[in-house]
Amino acid sequence: MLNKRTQFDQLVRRLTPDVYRFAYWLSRDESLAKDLVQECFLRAWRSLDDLRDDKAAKAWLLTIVRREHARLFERKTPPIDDISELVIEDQDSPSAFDLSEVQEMRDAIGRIETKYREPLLLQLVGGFTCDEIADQLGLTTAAVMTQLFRARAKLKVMLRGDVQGNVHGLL
Amino acid sequence: MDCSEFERRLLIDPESPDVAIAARQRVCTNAPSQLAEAMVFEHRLRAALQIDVPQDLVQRVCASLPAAAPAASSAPRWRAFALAASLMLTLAASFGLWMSQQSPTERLIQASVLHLAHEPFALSRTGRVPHTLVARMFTESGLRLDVAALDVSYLNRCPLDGQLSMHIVMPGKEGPVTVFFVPHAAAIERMDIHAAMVAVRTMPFASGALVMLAESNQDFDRIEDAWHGAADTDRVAAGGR
Repeated sequence: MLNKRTQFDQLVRRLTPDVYRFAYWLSRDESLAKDLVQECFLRAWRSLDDLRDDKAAKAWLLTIVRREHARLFERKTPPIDDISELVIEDQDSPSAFDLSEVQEMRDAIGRIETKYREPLLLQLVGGFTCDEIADQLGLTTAAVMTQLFRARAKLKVMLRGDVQGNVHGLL
Repeated sequence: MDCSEFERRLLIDPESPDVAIAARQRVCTNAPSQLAEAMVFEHRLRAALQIDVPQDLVQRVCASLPAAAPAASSAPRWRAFALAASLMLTLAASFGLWMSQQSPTERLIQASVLHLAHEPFALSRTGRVPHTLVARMFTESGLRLDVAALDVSYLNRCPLDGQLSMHIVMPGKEGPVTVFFVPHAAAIERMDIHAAMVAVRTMPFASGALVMLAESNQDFDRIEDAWHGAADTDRVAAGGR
């Protein structure tokens, strides 16, 4: 029993950062994100035998977070965090200039619609391919590619404040 | 891939190998610089997503999990119920008997097994606690040890059986071994038992007691020897094997 538990604790340790970041960027609420992480690992523990490898486990956990967030979102309106208070990890060692850029980017990520943000998070936080994201979201690969294209295009527009012709038509 | 497809792909997945190849082939006149610009943007995007994870989150998640492992999903449901019912009956009978006859040693074992379930994350630590920290925490508990021979992966002060004790985890060949040092426990006897599927050994140590818990007792002798070796003989009273 202890071995099974130890293995699961190691899984929690490995996947918590990505699951939390995914939950945070979906909800943009720290306490809600923590609750989502706790809930999805509790469900994972109950279905331990189905979790064979990290990639499958991560996909499974992020799907739970998405569904649980969608369910909770209907009854709880999260307060908007002051994202300027968030600090990026030490390894990034941002200069004051970088930090201001990071804040701008965070603000922009928070403003794009969930339907564009979700596939972007699955790609960049989850590390999934377009095909895998399509599987998880129940979309075609072409639709996921379009959403990823629009997500980045929207971010660029928000950050630059200018619009390139080829991007403008899609927004 | 032509130029317009290259520009589209830069916004879908700029880190894709296909995009890098297309940039080298200069499918657009400025393809390499467009790719470089996209990679800078991608770096900013990834950096922005890397928010700090709350330090206590892993502990909070682990602490919220039930202590018992989930039943295998392939087992028939009636078998799980039957097993649970029989375990409940056995535990109820054993617990009643135990409560009526408990010695200080048995009470300490019970408290130790229960405490184990509160800090399951302690068993998954793989790093090593620096010897200087181990020595300092034991000195503060009134026990001088030569800690060089003690391999410690987790160390904490925890309430146990009514007093502040040291909760230690040491790596063993058969899995992690939890050791509790209870500073004031004069009446503790040497005992080797299995309680709640955990192997347990108790023994007097210094002015208190040591409790070892693990899945198997295979590492107990080696770890007990390490503790006796680490003990300062001027201060640690005999009480081992």
